[in-house]
Amino acid sequence: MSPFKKPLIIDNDCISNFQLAHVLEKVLKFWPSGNIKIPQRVLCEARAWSQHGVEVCEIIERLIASGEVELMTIDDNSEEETSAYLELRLKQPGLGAGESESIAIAKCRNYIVASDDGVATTKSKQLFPDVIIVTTADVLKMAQKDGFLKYTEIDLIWDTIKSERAKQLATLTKTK
Amino acid sequence: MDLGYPLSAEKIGDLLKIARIGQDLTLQEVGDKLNLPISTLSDIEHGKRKTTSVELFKFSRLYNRPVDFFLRDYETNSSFAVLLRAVEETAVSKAAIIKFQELCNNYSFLKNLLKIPDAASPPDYSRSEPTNADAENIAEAERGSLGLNGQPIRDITDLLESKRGIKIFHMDVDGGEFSGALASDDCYGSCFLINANNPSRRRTFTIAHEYGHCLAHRNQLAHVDYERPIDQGSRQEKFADSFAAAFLMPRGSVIEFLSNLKSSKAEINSLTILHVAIYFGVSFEAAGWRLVSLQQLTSTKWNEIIAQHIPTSPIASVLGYVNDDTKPDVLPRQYKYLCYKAYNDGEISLEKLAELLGRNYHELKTEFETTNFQT
Repeated sequence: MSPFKKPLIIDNDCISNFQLAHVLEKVLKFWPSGNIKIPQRVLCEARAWSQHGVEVCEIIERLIASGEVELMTIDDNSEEETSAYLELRLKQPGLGAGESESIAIAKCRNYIVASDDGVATTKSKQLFPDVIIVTTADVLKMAQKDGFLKYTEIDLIWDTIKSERAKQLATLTKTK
Repeated sequence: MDLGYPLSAEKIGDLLKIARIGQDLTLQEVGDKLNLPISTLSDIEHGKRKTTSVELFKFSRLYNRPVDFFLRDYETNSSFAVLLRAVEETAVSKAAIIKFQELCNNYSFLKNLLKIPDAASPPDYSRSEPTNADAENIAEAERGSLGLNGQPIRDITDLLESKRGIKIFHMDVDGGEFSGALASDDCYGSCFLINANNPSRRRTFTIAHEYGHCLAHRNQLAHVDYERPIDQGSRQEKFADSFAAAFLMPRGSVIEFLSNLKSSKAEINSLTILHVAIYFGVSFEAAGWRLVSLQQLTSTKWNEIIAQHIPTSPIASVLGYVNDDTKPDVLPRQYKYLCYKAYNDGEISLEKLAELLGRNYHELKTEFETTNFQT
């Protein structure tokens, strides 16, 4: 039985990890169309990413156009979603505005959030314990269980993420 | 729906009104855009009707404010409301003032989050309504209290931030020849907005000038300053100019500096003024004007010198008087320190850190992960 039970909201850090490992498009297409949700502000943040923003946006926009990925914002006509968001902003001000949006949506629409931020996860759990937050590693494990990836490929993805981050830092330092 | 938030309907209404006025919108215009009757909007702003979270979202988009702006316990008659009114008839963009308020709010958020005690507030002379003649003594007292001992001030932003708890932000503010602004109330403390487009020597004088207002006119909550020649303008502006000059170039130090040059009064010329300006880190104009006010230079001579465009001359360049065009950081050092500390202490997420620093999330993440950041 597939471990992938609910639609997945992919947050900034998972997007950047997958992109660095050159598997963003592949991962976003693993599960049936419409199950992967990308918040609007994740797309905005990617646009401002000097090193990989163009590629990331190209991939996401293409997948949105084909219906494989769904762009998502809080429903500002929904009292439930807007209230959940306001509650997060008020009671967990240590979370970013975007994280609060993803968590509020996940709570109200019964989605899962994919994020590697430990602080965000802890703070979310304190307020909304029912919201499930998984990490990049969890997403890869789900993909492995569903037969989309082999263990050896997961190892390769991790190694690539690490080495790409080191390269990125060198470039950032040079350009500053 | 009762939001169950800490603010009363009256307070939320006040904040909505401030935000609406900040966007130059009438109730009629808001009603048209949000499809709400004016009577409903009026009831909301007067606290007679509670607003729903859906409505708050719509207001926040229309007023260009984060939605949680309407849930924080600001003093609604705060310095920023006064500041927004002060720039109403000018070319200074209200968006800049709103951004300034957000930054001050972030600063207060970080201090509360980390339980950082406030630095001692600057003394308040506003009740005694000091005049131009008092500026010298007040500046002297302040320098003494800050332990400056006649030395030039190398970094006025750092000094006032660390010793007086003043929040100083530099932003590009176009329009209206804006040079700086002060907002001061119990909610935010004293906050300065300085135009980053101005050269560094000028910014230094502006900060000292705003500090003069902060000491002497704090009861007015807010003040905006525009470019104009030194020592011209209202009584309050003259005080702030005199204070700034005396604070940056204390009488005793200037006299001592001049005597070390072995010059007599008559020998003070453009070269001497350049030398004074460089030593005290101020503009040529500020240095010349100070020498006149200290009666080391006659007004006539100064007027002759100022017509010679000395600051842009080759001799100024040779002496090292250059207008540093490097843009200052928007955020003060202490603010950035608090951001990183909050992140390091696990109080805020990386996304929140990026938000507070105005950085791109992905780039910040790369820097952090690869350098194994530790404070």
